[in-house]
Amino acid sequence: MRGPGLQIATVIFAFGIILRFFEIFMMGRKKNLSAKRASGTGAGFRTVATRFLPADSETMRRSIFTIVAGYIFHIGLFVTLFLFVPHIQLFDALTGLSWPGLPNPVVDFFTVISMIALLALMWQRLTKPVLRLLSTGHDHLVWTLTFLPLLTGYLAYHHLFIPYTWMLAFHILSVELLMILFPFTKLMHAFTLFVSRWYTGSMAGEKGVKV
Amino acid sequence: MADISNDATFREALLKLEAVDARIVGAKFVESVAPLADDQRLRRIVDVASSSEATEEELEVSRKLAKSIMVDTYTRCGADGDWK
Amino acid sequence: MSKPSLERGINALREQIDAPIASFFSSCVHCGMCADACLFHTETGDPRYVPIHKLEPMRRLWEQEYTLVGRLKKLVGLSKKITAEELEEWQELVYNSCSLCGRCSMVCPVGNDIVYMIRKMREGMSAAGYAPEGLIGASTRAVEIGSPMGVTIKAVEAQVKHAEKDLGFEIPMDAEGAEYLVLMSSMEIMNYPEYLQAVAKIMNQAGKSWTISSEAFEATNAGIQIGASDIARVLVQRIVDAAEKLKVKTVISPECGHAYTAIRWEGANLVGRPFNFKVQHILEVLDELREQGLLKTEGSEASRMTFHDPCQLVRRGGVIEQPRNLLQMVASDFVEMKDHGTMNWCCGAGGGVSANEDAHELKLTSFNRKKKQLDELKVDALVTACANCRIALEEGLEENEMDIPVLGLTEMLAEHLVTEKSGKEE
Repeated sequence: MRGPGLQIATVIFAFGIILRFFEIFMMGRKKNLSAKRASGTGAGFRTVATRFLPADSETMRRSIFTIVAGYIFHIGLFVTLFLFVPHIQLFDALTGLSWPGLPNPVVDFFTVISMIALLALMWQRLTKPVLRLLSTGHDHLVWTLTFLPLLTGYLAYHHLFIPYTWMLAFHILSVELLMILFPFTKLMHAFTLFVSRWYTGSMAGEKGVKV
Repeated sequence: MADISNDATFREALLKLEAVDARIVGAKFVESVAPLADDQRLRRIVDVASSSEATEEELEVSRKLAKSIMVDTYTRCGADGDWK
Repeated sequence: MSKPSLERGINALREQIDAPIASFFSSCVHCGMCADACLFHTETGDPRYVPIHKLEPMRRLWEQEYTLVGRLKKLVGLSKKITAEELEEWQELVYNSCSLCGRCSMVCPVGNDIVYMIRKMREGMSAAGYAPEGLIGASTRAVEIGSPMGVTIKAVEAQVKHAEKDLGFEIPMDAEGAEYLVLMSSMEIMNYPEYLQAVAKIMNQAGKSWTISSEAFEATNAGIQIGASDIARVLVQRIVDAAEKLKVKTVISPECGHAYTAIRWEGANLVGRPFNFKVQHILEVLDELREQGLLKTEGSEASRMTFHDPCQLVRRGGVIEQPRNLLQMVASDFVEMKDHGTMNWCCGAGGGVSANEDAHELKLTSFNRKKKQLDELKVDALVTACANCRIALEEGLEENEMDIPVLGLTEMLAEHLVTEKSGKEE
């Protein structure tokens, strides 16, 4: 039941990401001529790591909803994508790489909490004034692109609503859509955030500031 | 009273004064330059400060008022102070 | 400088977009967390003040011109051009409601240095002619008179004479070969003349050679605040020329936040070559003197004190431990605010906000953040090391009827210097 769709999507995904990185690095940046307190390289990598956690407890308190829901969603997505046994088999078939997965009911749980967190984040986006102001069609598009594979995968796994093969086809289609649009939308943040954190961390590190 | 003819002796003499007297001397000085500031509130402060019978309460009110005049008259960073 | 125009503004913005900017815009997922870090948002609740929104025109320009998708969208007429009206509307967001404090850059989960972007956005705004009047005035005066506040060298000389009379020793002017070149801010010359005397006393005690230059006494840099690198370059160049002419080893940036950023971090990049002298903030110098045993103090303040971190010194400058070390010398009951150091809250007046009349009300409203911090601590005095913070704090405290004195750290140390009379010297 696997057509060329996934291969085409993978190629677009990969080339798109390379293109986007090219677009970013092509912009270049000026050499810092001021007397540095330290090299920024290590500080950059430090920030890549530290930004996985909120800056301090006060930031945690102020942004608790975004942080908690954001984390649950990302962890749930990670587990569903990489630790579901059929997914691992697919990666194995494509790349020859394989790793142990989690029992299906556990993955199922993570899928559900991931979807709940996504719904909560969307609710926040639609109600909180700051997010209403910031949000554009683009934000709703990437939310939908992320939500659909989770939903169709969940429905397919539980054989709900329509025949399994149909639902699986929708699931694969939604993943292909996600992959094709990934490099050209802010889904790219999954890769560029490491670059952003490094730049910020290294610029601050040269001034002797840990950020 | 000895004549004071230079800055250093004047400073020393000032330092030796009791707090109340120092305040009154200060007020007398402010009185002589107050017209430059053109602030009616300053008048009241000087009156209180130069009186030897000023109560703690009056002094406290005057102090706060003086501080608020001081803050008012600061030139904010980047504002034109016209200091040629 | 040519006349401002939309075209010049857009060109200036184009020049500012570099790899970090492209990466930052690519990474932002509109999570809104930067809003919670910005005192202009937290204290007003106005959603327009969410930091990343202040960059929307620049983001569109980046997307339209430097991404494949953006260019395709532009080709088929799906993109919205930057207009003069839009930039005019954004003036409030880019200048009035941003003190360049950089707290947003600390919390962004994808790691965007948002204030780095705002600093760049201002280059486009000023080139397009949408900088606030107050900042245009300050920049013009800085270039033409030598001080954003119109302080001339004559006024400085008068202050120096006055200080010499008080001190009883000479303040070296244009002394070639001195170790330190001491700069001042107009704020100190006009509002806090005690600063100069404090530095003189400390240098005298430490036995260090120092000087003031009649050609470059002003450390502040309105070009940095308004976002005009050409102006900023002229102002930095004056200091570089004076430092090289007098062959000093170190240039000392005064108790001012953005002046430090201007000379210490942007300076060499503005003039296009590394400096052949060191640049230090006065607190760095004092802390070094402390370490070398050349800063000797006696007695300490018993009142409960806290330190307000100037953003450009700490978060954007890396002078973090020095004020603490120095305060320990003279304050026996020193307490920290809950958010301090790199996570401190701004006084609300930095980054040109104080020079911008349009921002006055907003500045006073955003001071509520500092008020809350201080209410929690119940201190008797507040110490800081930036004349602009100091005036903003005094003004805010006055407005809120809070009777807390605000002190400059350098002056406070000078007051505790061991004097000859106390018999510990000579």
